[in-house]
Amino acid sequence: MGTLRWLSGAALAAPALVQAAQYATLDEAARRSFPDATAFREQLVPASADEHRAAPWRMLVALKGEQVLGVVVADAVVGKFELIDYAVGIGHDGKLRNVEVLAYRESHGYEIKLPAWRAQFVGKDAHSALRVGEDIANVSGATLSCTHVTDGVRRIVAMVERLRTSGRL
Amino acid sequence: MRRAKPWLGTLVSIDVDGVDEARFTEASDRAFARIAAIHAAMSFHEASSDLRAMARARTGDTLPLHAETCAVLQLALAFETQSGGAFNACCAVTLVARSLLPAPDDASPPQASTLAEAIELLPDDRVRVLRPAWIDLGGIAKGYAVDAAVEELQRAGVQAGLVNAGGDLRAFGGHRTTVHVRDPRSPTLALPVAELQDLACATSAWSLTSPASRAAHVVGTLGDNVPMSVTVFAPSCAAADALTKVVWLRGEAAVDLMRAHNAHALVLHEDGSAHRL
Repeated sequence: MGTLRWLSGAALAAPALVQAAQYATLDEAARRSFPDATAFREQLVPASADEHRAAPWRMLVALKGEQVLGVVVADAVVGKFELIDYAVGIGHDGKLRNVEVLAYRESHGYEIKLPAWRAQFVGKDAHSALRVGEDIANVSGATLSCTHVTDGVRRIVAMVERLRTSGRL
Repeated sequence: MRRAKPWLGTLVSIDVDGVDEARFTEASDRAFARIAAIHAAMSFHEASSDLRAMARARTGDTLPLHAETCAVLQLALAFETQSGGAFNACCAVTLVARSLLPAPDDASPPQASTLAEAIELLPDDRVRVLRPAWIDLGGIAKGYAVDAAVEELQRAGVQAGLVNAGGDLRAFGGHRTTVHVRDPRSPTLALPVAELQDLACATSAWSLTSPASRAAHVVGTLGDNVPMSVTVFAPSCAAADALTKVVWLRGEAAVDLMRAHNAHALVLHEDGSAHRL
């Protein structure tokens, strides 16, 4: 039987909280996408690989011996209230294998576009929860949409397909 | 250990206690695979889903459905009956009219206004269409998916943890968590409202991306003093999810049904007041 304990004094004049959570590192996402891989080789994909892209993509090539199993591409999307870092695993056959959210953070907006703010996610251990204000995983209420991630995944799949067919992978 | 993926139109996270990485990866892979299957079967957006197959069907057609879809339809029928129609899965027509769902270009004109008018569940995961209907299970399927994920984790040997699909969440195996509810007027503010253990919770609130449209996602006749957010705590996440809509529409009159499901609610109003049911 479950237990519910109301927190007294809950009022709508609560202080501002920033929801933030770190879920996985790029290496963990890569291992989950390609459990058979024996090594991962890091590679940068120039921004020119996608017409909408300003910065290079960070990519890990999954290897089993000499054989290329596929790639894992890291990306971030900025929504109205949130920034989501995620990674996409794509097999050597061009098929989508895995999408993994690496980090999530929401705020009033402006600071998530700052590089200094972004930098705090780099190299964080997935098991040491970020303490930005508070690490709240359990916010209930109007749902934040993952549409931006879905769009981003589609672009990455298309970009990897171009690299593949032009023999650049 | 924790992990998150984009599913069900939101971010779904799994946190578990006391397992090693190999077991966690295997267990969470299974849980996410189950969520993905539920998403595919019950998305009104996808033409290949069971819901769209039912929207294309004609009177008298018998359709094979995924077992998951049948289980959710059965729950939806029960909540429709128990709530006197406040819980209504035949609301897709209204949601399409409000641009909250895409208009299906392959559907029959909808005739049924309740699920009981629309379908009859048959043995072996089949359904008979009594009258064509546009069924949307958005009011219960996410909660059901959370319950299913918890089931998969437990089956894979995970003792305790939490599954959270954008605020429809469930803690199991003694995992204790504090739930915060967003202030719909200012979506990046959230207030801690309750601590729970072995319990689920779901919230229905004003649309976050367009506060002007307010309760656009709730279909039905609203009474006075309309809430801006309803959070329900219940043993299963499917029940919590479905009951948010009943509390939204019925208010105090929903108390008996809430108690029958061992559920409790927190209702927030625009004037800043909060009350518990």
